[in-house]
Amino acid sequence: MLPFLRQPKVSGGFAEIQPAASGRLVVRLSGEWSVRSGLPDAAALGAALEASPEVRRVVFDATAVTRFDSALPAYLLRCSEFARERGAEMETATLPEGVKRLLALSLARPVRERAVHEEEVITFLHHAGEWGIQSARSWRKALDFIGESVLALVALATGRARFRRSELTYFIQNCGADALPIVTLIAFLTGLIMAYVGAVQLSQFGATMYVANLVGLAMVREMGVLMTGIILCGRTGTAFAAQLGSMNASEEIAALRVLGINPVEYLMLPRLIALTLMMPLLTLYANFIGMIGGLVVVSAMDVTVQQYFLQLVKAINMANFCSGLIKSVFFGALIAWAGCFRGMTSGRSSLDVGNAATGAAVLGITLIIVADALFAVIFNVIGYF
Amino acid sequence: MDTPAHIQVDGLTMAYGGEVVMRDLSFRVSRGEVFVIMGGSGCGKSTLLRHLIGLQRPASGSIRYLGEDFTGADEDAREAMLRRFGVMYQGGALWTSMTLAENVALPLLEYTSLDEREVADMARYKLSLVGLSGFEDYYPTEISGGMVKRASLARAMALDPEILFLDEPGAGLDPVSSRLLDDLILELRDSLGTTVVMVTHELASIFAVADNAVFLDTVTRTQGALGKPTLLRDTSTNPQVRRFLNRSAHTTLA
Repeated sequence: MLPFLRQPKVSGGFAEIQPAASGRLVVRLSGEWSVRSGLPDAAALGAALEASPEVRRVVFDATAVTRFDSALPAYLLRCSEFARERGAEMETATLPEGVKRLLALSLARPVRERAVHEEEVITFLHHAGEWGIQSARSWRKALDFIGESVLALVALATGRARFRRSELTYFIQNCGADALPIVTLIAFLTGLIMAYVGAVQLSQFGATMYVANLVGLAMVREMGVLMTGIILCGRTGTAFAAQLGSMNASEEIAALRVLGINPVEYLMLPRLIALTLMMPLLTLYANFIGMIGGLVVVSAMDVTVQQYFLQLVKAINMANFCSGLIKSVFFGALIAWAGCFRGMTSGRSSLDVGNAATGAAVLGITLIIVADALFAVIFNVIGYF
Repeated sequence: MDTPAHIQVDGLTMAYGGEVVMRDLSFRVSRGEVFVIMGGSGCGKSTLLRHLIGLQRPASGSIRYLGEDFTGADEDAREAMLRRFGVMYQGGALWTSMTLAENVALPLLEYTSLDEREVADMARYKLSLVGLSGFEDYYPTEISGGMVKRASLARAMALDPEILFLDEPGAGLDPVSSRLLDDLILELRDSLGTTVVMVTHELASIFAVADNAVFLDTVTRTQGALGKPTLLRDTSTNPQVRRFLNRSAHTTLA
């Protein structure tokens, strides 16, 4: 910033540096020193000392200081740093008593050498190496957690897992029943949108009736489970990550570990079980609500309720119906796992907890889409439908 | 008594919902005084502090700063009064996404027209006062708990507040740091005329720095005693107060 653009200071402290006889430098301090009006740059003293290396003593004259707060000792502290650097001594005897003591307090403890973050030459190789080490580390963390999760599941299967049953019921309520309103809204609108898109095309061929096939099949095979998964990912997966992340930050997870309780079992299992149980139920519900959304559209096009439902029953066979539900079980587990993974491996600052929540949403959605694609291939290969 | 007290509390009753924590607290703190709020664990010391800094509204009673009503003040007047406070929180409450220097610099950048160099100089000085010079570029998660507390004090002092509120400043500090902290508090009072309100139950610290103190009595749920702790220790008529200040487990009073 150019000097004349700087905000003018109405009053403030001034420091005038004058050379004096016998290797001394006098700093005349004057004015009203206040944190609110600023303090002069001590670098001027550094420059003066550099210009005259014969100076061994810096003397302060504070007779013209009318008022001071911590701005004055702050300035003097910087001066003392510059003086020490140049091997000059500071004479503080002439300073007001209060300033002397405030300065002494700041020098009371050994100064730790400033942690200098060394300027390194950053090359492409450096970046690549850093990236490689980082990703190796995060993969390792992920593998560790996968391992611990598997062990927890084994413990669950053999009935040795320890967790609080009351926590399980809480999470069942929390990620099941409490999610109904939002699932209702999204599923209804999804059905409605698909019915609209389909109706516009199919009515050209006089096949408005087949909107039921379109909506019904799409809901039970893909849309119901995907939309529910995405909602729960944003609603529940991120919440898990944030809860566990802040527990990690306040050392609650460490406290469990030290107590001999496996935190992955204790914290992840109730969440995982709850979401795995609730996900199919919510999907079933979403499928049904989506079909009602479709009905709203076609009933405006001279299709009766009976016709619509008969058509639905004809269109959807058991295999179609079950494929969505089978997937939903896995999606639920994946979402819960992603949330717990991000939360339990998060860092300790508030930023880290935020990143954990974001990471849980991204990882959760990625996992369910990838799993959906895998299921499509698997169902095809085994000739499920 | 002719000039208004720096802090004047009258008939303050604190409650969470319907549950009264403390009732009928009345005391005054003069300018440039070190005032200690003491009492056993869970008696409402920190709650009283939260009332004084406006984080909680009193159930009844009033708090006045320099004669000006704080509890009933409008938003602007409250803001202006809050600007004169510096608060050190029990857990430190440092912003974890900022370095120590940035933590101390934030109030300076927000409320003064200092330039970058000046802010850096001030932050450096405040950190050196609490023995953290050299740690300017560390993040709160990279330093120890005691250092976090000290950095929090540095942040509280950033704007040279008229009143410094300290919540358990000595907890988690080693004896030397704790002693240096007491010296610092006294020095701020003497050199800058800062009024200090401090919540603590550390006797050594209480006797070393307190000009005046209020004792919150958990049994009667009101103030047990008011006065200079060294005097209260020997002359208070309240057995709770004497037990507390004499560190005795039993009420053995002659």
